[in-house]
Amino acid sequence: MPQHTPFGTSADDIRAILDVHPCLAWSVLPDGSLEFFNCHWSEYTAMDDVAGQWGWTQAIHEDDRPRLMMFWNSPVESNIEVRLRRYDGNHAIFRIRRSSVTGATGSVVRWYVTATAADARPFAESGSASAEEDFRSFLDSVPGLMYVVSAAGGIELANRRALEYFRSTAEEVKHWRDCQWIHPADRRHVRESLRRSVETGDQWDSEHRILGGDGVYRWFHHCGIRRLDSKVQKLHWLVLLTPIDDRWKLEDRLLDSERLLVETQRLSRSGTWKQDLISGKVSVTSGIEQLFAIAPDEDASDAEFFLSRIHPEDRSRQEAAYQRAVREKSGFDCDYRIVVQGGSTRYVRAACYPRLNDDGEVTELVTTAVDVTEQESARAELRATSNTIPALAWSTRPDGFVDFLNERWLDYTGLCSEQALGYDWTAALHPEDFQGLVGYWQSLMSSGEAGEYPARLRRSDGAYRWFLFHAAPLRDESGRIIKWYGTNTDVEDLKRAEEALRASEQKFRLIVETTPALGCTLSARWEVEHANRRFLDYFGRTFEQLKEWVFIGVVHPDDFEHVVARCRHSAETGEPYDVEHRCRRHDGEYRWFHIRGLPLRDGHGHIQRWYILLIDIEDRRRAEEALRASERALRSIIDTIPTLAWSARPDGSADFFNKRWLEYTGFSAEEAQGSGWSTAFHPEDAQRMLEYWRASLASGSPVDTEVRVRRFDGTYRWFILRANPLRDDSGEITRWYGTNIDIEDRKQAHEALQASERELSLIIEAIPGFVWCASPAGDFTYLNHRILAYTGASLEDWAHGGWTSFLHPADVEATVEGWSQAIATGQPHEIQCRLRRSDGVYRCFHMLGQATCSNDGSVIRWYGLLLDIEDRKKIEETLRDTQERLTRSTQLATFGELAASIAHEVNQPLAAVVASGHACLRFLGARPPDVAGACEAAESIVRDGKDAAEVVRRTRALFKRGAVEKSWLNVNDVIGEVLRLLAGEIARREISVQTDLPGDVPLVAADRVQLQQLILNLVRNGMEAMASIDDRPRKLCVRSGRETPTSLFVEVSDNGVGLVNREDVFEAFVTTKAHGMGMGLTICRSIVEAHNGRLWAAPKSGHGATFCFTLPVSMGAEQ
Amino acid sequence: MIPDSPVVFVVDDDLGVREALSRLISSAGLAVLAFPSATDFLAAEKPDAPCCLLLDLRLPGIGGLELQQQLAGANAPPIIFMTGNGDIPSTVRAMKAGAVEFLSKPFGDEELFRAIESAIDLDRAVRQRRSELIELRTRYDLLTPREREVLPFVIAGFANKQVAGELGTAENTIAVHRAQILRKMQSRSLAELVRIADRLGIWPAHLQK
Repeated sequence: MPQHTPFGTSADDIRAILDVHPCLAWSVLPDGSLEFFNCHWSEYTAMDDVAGQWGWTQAIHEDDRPRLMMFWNSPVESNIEVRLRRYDGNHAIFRIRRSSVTGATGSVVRWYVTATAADARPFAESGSASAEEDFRSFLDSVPGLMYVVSAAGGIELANRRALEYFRSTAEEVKHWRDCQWIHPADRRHVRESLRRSVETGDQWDSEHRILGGDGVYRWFHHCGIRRLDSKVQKLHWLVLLTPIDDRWKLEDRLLDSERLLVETQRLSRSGTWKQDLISGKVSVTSGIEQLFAIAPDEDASDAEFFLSRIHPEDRSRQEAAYQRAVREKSGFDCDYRIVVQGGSTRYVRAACYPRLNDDGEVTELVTTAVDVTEQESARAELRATSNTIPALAWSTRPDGFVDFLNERWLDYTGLCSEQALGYDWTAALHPEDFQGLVGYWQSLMSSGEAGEYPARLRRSDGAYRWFLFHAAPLRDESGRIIKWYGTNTDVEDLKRAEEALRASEQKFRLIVETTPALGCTLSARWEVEHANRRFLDYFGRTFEQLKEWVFIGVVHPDDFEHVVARCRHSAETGEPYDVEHRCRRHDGEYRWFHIRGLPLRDGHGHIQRWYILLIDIEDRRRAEEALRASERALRSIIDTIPTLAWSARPDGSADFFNKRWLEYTGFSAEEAQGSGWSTAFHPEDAQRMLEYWRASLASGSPVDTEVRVRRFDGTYRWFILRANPLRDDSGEITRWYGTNIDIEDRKQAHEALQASERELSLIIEAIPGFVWCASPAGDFTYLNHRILAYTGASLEDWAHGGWTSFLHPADVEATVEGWSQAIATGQPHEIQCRLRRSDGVYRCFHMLGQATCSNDGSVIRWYGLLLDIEDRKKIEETLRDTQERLTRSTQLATFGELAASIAHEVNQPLAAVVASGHACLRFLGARPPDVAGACEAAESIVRDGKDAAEVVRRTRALFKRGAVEKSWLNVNDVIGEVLRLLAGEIARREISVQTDLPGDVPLVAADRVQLQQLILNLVRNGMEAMASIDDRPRKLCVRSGRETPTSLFVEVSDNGVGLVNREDVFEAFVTTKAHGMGMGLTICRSIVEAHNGRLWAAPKSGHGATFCFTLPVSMGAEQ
Repeated sequence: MIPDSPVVFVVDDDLGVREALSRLISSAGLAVLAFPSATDFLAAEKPDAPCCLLLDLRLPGIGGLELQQQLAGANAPPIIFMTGNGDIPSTVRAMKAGAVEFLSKPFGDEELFRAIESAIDLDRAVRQRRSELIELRTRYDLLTPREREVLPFVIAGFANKQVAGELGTAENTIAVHRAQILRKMQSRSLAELVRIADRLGIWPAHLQK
C-alpha cells in the first residue's frame, strides 16, 4: 500500500514517529479490522494481536462500546470519551479522535485513530511524568518478568508480564509479604540468598519456584540487582526472573535416572567408579561407598585408596590387571577380596573397561563392582559340604575338564588339587582300568546321561582300591550341560564281600549237600537254582525237571493256596519264608515238612537268592497231632462234665474255664481270663469270696465255700466252689484246679424246708383249728394253744387219760373205745365227739388221727386234728332241709317229667274209658245182650271219667302252686344254692365246676324257686350231656355278668356231646338223652320268658354246648 | 281151664285200666290174667298155654322195657306194649327187643284184638316147635352112647361097612346100631332121620371135622 502511505515515508519511519507520539495511535480498515498500532497501544492494552473485524474494540469498556460504534458511524462526531482497558484490567478514560483517509472513489479506505487519556493525560504530558512512571514503563518494556522486591521480602512493583504470570493486579501484589509467592521449599534458601545479598551487596542469585496465577509453580532463575532508591534512601532489588522450568525438568530427569542407578546399585550391592587417568582422580557412586565401606571422612579420590582395601593376596594381581587394561586397552573381569574395617572380608566381582578418547587414548577406567560375598560363601559352603560327604566328589566342566576335587579325593589320592585338576587326575587310575573308564566317561559326555563305572583308584600309600565312579550332568534352563558332578564310592569291601560270598556259597552248597535235610536255592525270581541230592531223591526228580518247578503235584492240594500266598508274600517283601506243609514224595506219599527260606541280599539290600531248607517233621507232626487229639479229648471231657471247671495260676489269675463255665456265665474266654471271673460273683459275696481266695492262695489250703454266681441271664445261683492246688515236686503250687457245683436247687430246697418248717409251726399255731400230737400209747404230747384255750386247760390236764373228762359224758365210751382201737391197730382214727368248752358248752368235734410209722411199721407218733363241726352240722341240717324242700319243688316243677306224668295220668283213665266203652258195646251187642256186664262196664266208664277229671284238676292245682312270686334276688346267690344242692351229684359224676361270678351283678326281680329250677335244669342238662364222656375231663362252667346296662346274663356251658339241632332243643319231648322226657329245656324257656328274658343255646367250640339266658335288671323286672 | 286155651296177661299199675282191659278181653272169650306190677307178673304161676303179654311201658319199680329185657331168652310170651305218652326212642327200643305191637293209650278194641291175635298165633307156633323139639330130644336121649356115635355117619350116608371101618367094629354091629337108631328115633326112613338130626342140631360125620 505505498500509495496510501501518508507521508511517503516507509512504514518503519511512520511507526517510529507514531511510537514517539505520546498517545495511543492506530489505524482501522473500513471493515473495522485493526491495521496498525503504535507501541503505546500495545503497551497500554497489551493487545498485540487483534483478530477479526472490530476486535480492537475489545479494549473499549463494554458499556462504552455501543457509544463508540455510534460515534464511529456518525459522520459528524470527531471525538468521544470512552474508557480504555489497560493490560492490568484497569480502565482509564481516553478521548478518542479519528480521521478518515478517503480513496480515489471517495470512500473511506482507512481510519486513523488516536486516544489520549482524558483525565491524567499521561502521554500528552509525558514530560511531567514521574520517575516512577518512567521506571514502570521501563519495567513494562522488559520482555520478561520483573519486579522490585523490598529488603523485607515484599513486592513493591511488578511489571506487566509478572502481573500476567501472577494474574494479579499491581495493587494486590503490593500486599504480598515475605516471599509468599515463592515455593515454600525454596523460601528459606531464597531468604538466605537475599540476606547474603544484603550483607555483601552482591548480586542476589537464586533458582527457585514461583507460584503462577494458574496455581502451578515454575522454576525461575532469579537475578536481583540491588538498587538504592535515591529518593527515599530505600534499598530494594530489581529482579529479573528467567523461566528455567524446562531445563530443570531435564535435570530432574537426569537426577531421577541417576537416583535409579544409585538405587539399583544399592540393591544389587554394586557400584561404579571411574578413574580419570589424566588427573588420577577417582569418582565413585554410592554403591561403591557402601561396598568399600568408605567412611564420609575418608578420602577416596585416588586409586591408592581402593588398592589398599583389596586383600593383600589379591592386590598385586589387581594392580597388574589394571595396568594391563590400560596397556592393552581391553577390559577384564576379576574376582578379588576386599578387607573392610573391622577385618571382615568381602568378595567382589569386578568388571573393568577402559574409555578411550577420540584419539584412541585411554582416558578413563570404569569399573563396576558387585558384592558376591554371599555367593562366595555359599560356594565355600558347598565346597565344605562336598568335602564332608563321605565320598570322593568332583566336578568338571562340560568338556570334562575337572575343576573341583573335594578334600577326600585329594586326601585319598595324596595329590594336591593342582596335580589333579584338569585331566591330570587320571594318573591315580589303575593302568588296567584307564582305558575302560575314560572310554565310558567319553560316552557319557557325548550322550549327556548319568552313569557309573567301577575302577581302581590309587591311594596315597600306593594301594589300589575299587571305586564306583558315578557322574551326573547339571543342566541350565535351556537343557545345556553346564557342569558334571561326580562321586567315587569305595566298593572295595563290597567287592571283597562278594568274593567271600562266592566262597561261602560254595561252602554252603557243600553243607547243603551233606545236610540231612532237603535243601535248595532259589533265584530272586523264585526259580530253582540248585537242589541237594536228598531234595532230588525225595521228589524223585532230576535237576532239569526241577527247573520247571511248580507247586502242583508237590504241595498237598489242601496246603496249596496257603503256600502260594506265603511264597508270594516272601518274594515281594523279602521276609523269611517259614511254612509247614505237606510235600509229595516220589512214591506219592505226603509228608509234613517245615520249610524255611532265607533271602541272601547284596550290598544294596536287593535279594539275590533264597536258601530253602525243608525239614521232615512228619513224625513230630504225628506226635503233635496225637497230643492235640488227647488234649481235645481231655478238653471235651472237661467241657462235658456237668460242673463248671476252671484252673488258675499260682497268683490266682484264671487261665482256663471249661465250656460249661463259659456257657453258664455267658462270658467269653477272654472276659473270664485273669480276674475277669470275679465279676460273676454276687456283689454281696464278691468281697468275702475274694478275701477267701486270697487267703487260700497265701496258705495253699483247698478252697471250699459257697457263693452265688451270676448266670448269663443275670440270675444268681448258689454254687459250691471247690479248688485244690497242684504242687510240683518241691511242694510249690503250680496251678489251682477248681470246680463250681450248682447247689441252687438243693439250697433252695433246704431253705424251702427251713422256711416251711418255720411256716408250719406258725401255721399250726395260727390255724383256726385244733392240732394235737400223741405218743404211740395214746398220751397227748402236744396240743396247740387253741385246744388249750378252748378247753381252758393245760397239757397236763389232757395227759394220762385226763382228756376224757372234757368229753360229753354220752360220748366217752364210744370215743375212748375208738381211740383205743386206733392205738391198737395203728389205723387212722376218726370219730365224732362233743368237747366241753371252758364255759361248759359242748360243741361237736370231728377227731382225726393219723399215725406216723417207722420203716418196720411200728407207730412213732400220732398226729391229729380236732375239727369243730358244730357249725357245719347245723349248716348241714339246714341244707338238708332246704334240699328236701327244693327236691319237692323240683319234683313239682320238673315240667318234663310233669308233662309226661300228666299225659300218663290223663291217658290212663282215658284208656280205661275207651276199653270199658268197647266192652260195654260188646256186652250189649252179644246175643243175648249181657246187660249186667254192660252196666258194669258203663259204671267203670263213669268212674274212669271222673278219675280223668281229677287228674286235670290236680294238674291245674299244681300249676296254681307254681305261680310266679317275684322278689329281688342276687342271681349269683341262686347259682351258689343250686351248685351246693347238686354238689353231691357233681362229685359223683366226677365233674369239675368252674364259676365266674363277679360280685357286682345287679339284682333281678324273679321267683326264687323258678330261678332255682331254671338254673338247676340247665346245670343238670349240662351234667347229663357229659354223662357219656370218658375221653376228657368233664367240665362245667357257670358264668354270670352284666350283659347290657339293663340286663344280665347267666351262662352254663359243658363239654359234653353237644347239640344236634340248635333250633329244636327247646321243643317239648325232644331229647338227646337216654333217660329223659325232653321237657327240661322247654320249662326253662317258659320260665325265662315269664321273666321277660331270653334263652338260647349255642354249640361250644370243641365239645359241648353253651346255654345262656338273660334277665332284665331294672324296668322290666318290676312287672 | 281148657288146655291150649289162649291166655292174655295184662300188666298195668292203673286199676281202672286193668279192669277195663280185663273186661274187654274176656268179652272176646279170652282168658285174662291182670297184674299191677312187673314183680307180680314175674312171681305169678303161668298156665302152659298160648299167651301174650299186654304191658304198660311206664310202671312203678321195674319198668316195661326192663321187664322185656328180663324175659328175653326164656320162654317169654310175645309182648304188646301200651303207653300213655309213647315217645319214639322207647318205641324203637321196644320193637327192636321183639315187641309184637305198640299201642298208644287210648286205643280201640279192633286194634287191640288184632294185636292180641297175632301175638297168640305167634306164641302158638313157637310153642308147637318147642314141643316137637322136646319130643325129638327125648327120643335122642334114648340112644346109647355108641348109637350117638354112629348116628352122624348114618346121616352122612355112609354104608355100614364104611362106618365099621371108621369106628373099628364089625359091619354087623353097625347094622344093628342103625336099626336101633331108626327105631328109637321113630324114623321110617333115612331121609326122615336126616331131617330129625338136622332139627336136633346134629351134624353129619363128614361135616363134623
